[in-house]
Amino acid sequence: MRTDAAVCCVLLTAASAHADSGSSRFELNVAAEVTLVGLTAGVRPELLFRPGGDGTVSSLRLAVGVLAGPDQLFVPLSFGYRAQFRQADVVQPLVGLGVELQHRFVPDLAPVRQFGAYLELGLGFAVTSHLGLQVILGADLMVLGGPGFGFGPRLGVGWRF
Amino acid sequence: MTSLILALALAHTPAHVLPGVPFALDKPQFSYALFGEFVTGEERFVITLEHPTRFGTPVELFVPHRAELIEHRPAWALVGPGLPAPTAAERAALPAPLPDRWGAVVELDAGATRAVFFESVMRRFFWSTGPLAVVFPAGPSELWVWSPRHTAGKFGLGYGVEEGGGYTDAFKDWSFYAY
Repeated sequence: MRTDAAVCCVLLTAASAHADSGSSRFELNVAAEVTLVGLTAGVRPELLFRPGGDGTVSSLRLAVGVLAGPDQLFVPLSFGYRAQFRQADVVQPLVGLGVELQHRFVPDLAPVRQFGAYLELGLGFAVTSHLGLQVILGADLMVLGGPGFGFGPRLGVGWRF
Repeated sequence: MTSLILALALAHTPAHVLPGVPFALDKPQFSYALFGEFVTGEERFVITLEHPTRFGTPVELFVPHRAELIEHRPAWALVGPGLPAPTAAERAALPAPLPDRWGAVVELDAGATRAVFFESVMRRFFWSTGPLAVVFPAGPSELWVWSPRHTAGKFGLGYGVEEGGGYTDAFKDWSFYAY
């Protein structure tokens, strides 16, 4: 975990060193999502912080989802790193990874919590300098609280500010 | 990481059982998760086993934790020669007459409350009868699953403890097990 943090710091420092204006460090996205293992659907808002500002690849990501399925309410909380490349282009490939704490609720059982890692791959589309869209495939591997692997697509819209 | 891989890999071997088609458990020393679906509520599912010696292991019947299935409480019975005679009420509840000299262990899932568990591989919640340890007789025996209330819906029958390594079977009928 300490090594991961060090790598993250190096990446973010490098991104900061190459920053341009730094005027839009934040990005708020709201994504519609379907989880295909443990079927649920809902939204997963996320806040991105780009230390280097506009034009830089690296950002920190904090996300919380609220998704409902036929048998459960699913609330994942994620924290991680996202790299979004080719910032000057309309189509911007992205990749991210981090940790995730998942909560699952049913009425007649104590909440189930699992902890593990997530990975995301996708494309961002810059509609304007502030407005963007994302198409992302997310996957996770839970290691604590019961092992399991899940994945699902996300479609998002976001605003840089 | 090794323990995680083992935990994911060594799950119960899943199988899709069909009404009217006895399903033979070829390796009854291992564990299985047998999934089926009542379409009319009149079906009977039969699983056949043959143990070389007496064999004690847990059996558990569960249904998806969904509002529309709250009244869906299928029952199971272990039947075979050498088992105790069922009570009159249990015998009356069985979906078929017992063959001569066969006994039965019957679980009617008639309790006021139901256990709930989370299955982390498919990430689903289930209502369960709870595991009941039973002793299978040496020789042939059968597990019967039926729906005393004639309700429709899916079910799963958990059998055994020892992991048999049949986890890749999940991909043969993944959507049936996952949804």
